[in-house]
Amino acid sequence: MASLYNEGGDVISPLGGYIPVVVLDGEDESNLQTLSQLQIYWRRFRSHRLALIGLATVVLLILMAVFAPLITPGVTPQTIPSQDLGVALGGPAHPPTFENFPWRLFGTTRLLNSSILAEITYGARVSLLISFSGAIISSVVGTILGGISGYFGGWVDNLIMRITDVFLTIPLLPLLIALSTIYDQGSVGILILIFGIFTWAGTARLVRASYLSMREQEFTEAARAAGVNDMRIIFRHILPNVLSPIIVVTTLSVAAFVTLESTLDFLGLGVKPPTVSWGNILTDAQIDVLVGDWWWVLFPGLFLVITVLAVNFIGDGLRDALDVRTRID
Amino acid sequence: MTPPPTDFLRVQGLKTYYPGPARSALPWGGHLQVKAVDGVDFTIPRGTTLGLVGESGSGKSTVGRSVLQLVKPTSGQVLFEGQDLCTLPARQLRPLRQRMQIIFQDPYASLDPRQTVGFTVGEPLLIHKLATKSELAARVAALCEMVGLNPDLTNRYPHEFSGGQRQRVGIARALATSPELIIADEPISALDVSIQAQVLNLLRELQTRLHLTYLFISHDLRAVRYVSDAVAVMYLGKIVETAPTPMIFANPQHPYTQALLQSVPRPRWAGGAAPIELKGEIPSPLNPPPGCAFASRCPLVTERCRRETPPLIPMRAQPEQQVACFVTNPPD
Repeated sequence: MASLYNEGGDVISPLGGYIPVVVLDGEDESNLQTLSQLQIYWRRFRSHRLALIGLATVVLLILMAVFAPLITPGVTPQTIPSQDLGVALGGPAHPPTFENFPWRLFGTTRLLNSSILAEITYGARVSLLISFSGAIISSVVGTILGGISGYFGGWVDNLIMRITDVFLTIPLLPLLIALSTIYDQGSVGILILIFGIFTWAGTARLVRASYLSMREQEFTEAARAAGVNDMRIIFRHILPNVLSPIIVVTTLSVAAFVTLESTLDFLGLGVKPPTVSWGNILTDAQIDVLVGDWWWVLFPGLFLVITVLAVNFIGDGLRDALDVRTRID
Repeated sequence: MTPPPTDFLRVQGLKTYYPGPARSALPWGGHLQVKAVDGVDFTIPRGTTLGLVGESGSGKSTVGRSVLQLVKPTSGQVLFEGQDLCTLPARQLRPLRQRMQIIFQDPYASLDPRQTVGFTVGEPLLIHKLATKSELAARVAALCEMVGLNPDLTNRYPHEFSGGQRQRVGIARALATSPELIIADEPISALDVSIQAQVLNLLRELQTRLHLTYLFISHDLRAVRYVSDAVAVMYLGKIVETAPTPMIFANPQHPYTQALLQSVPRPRWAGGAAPIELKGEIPSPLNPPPGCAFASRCPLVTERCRRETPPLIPMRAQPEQQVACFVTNPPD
């Protein structure tokens, strides 16, 4: 047999020459078994180019938010740089320029002449915090309720699903408008809670449907036969099998919440000045863009779009990475 | 009535009904009942194998699941060393589960696709605190070795295994807690013929080594004959005939058993009578006919069979063989 192969593992053809052996999937897997579970996931994620770009983008955005004071030293959205005080009041806004780098990089606002770069970096703190935390709360609540509902069935399922129906019928925007008269306006924590509490219903339905089909699988029956308790079956056995739709929904929620939060700010129902968020910047910009201050809308808008895209790419990559049945290409 | 202490597993009057389609469109109309198992009695002495045969839909798998309480029986008793599992609360049932395990039919569906094979085999040990985390790897490796799997493969996922290997994983999981009773629910029907023999031999070898008791559910009569000490034939939720294996294969009494045995393909040179051809389908368990369930397809049917249900009673000549038929084993 050995004579059939050359050193490279290629098969020596009876007609002379070599037939290259095409290594199909599985060859690499022998190295994988020494890796931990997380390393395997990371390897799979890494092979997804767009997801890597998305992850890098989101990491940069988060770093930008955390280190906002270092990016525009001495300049916050509220400070008006002294050397510009004279021209600031009533004066024209500055278009983007490398002059006085970096605080005029994305231009300045009319009237207050504050740095749009500073507004974006400080605003990212609020916008990212609200959308990520809101999406995570929403998914956790939806997964727990949907999982319990789908796994147990019967009256538990009925009860949880009727509550879900109620939450699904509530239109979010009018509700938020109505609630805005009650809650402490501008409180980031309360906004996060509201986002999380009123949006889990869709996730719960999706998770329930997945659990319904998984409950009938023989491997859950096998787990029960082995004496595994219900909660462990729900979260240790079934959850990993239904994780990919949950992750996709979560990333979609992050993207949706970035937009929703801006919408709320834009309507004056979200966080209030002097707290800056991306939506706030756009609210302030809405008149002035008409008189030609295009940079005031373009840069915050660009950050919104990039964030939403990056998060969606991460979702794609995670879905593929967490599916043990997909192979590394 | 306390059963004698020799009875390892005794099932009495077991009935398992599933809710079927709704009786009417109204939500309070109730449901029809699918009588999957409709009064089954049997006993399995320790260390032996009872083969449970029957065609699809006869309720044999439901019997297995009902014994383990994976499906709650509607009525009847499952006495495991004299203790009725049906009335036992879940909290007390769970520790008993390590003593009885199940091997599933479909090795593709019965393994969690997201867990490594090592996790699947080792989990019962952790659940029942039979091994510490540090001992676990060695125990799992030993179990794999026992069922003929390479222990180096425990970090792999089920999709990387063949059907036969997966079934070995399923067997290793079932053996993990050193159970005494194993329900083998069609353990070989999803496998290639060559692998079937390997798995059957493995099951027999394990029985001798570990003194296991099997309830072997199958529609493959040759496999049942090979592994079983006694055979029970099910038809539409009831046992129609039961006897020690040599007896039932040599001298089947119920017309259904006869038809079933003759349907086993064999070479032409082996001779034998032309198979009795069964006409029609197994009746619906939603609406079982009155009288003998087999009456609609029986070549020996009488008037009485259509009116009354024949009891499963011992044959006069050989009491180990029990037959439920008015014609071949008249009660009076």
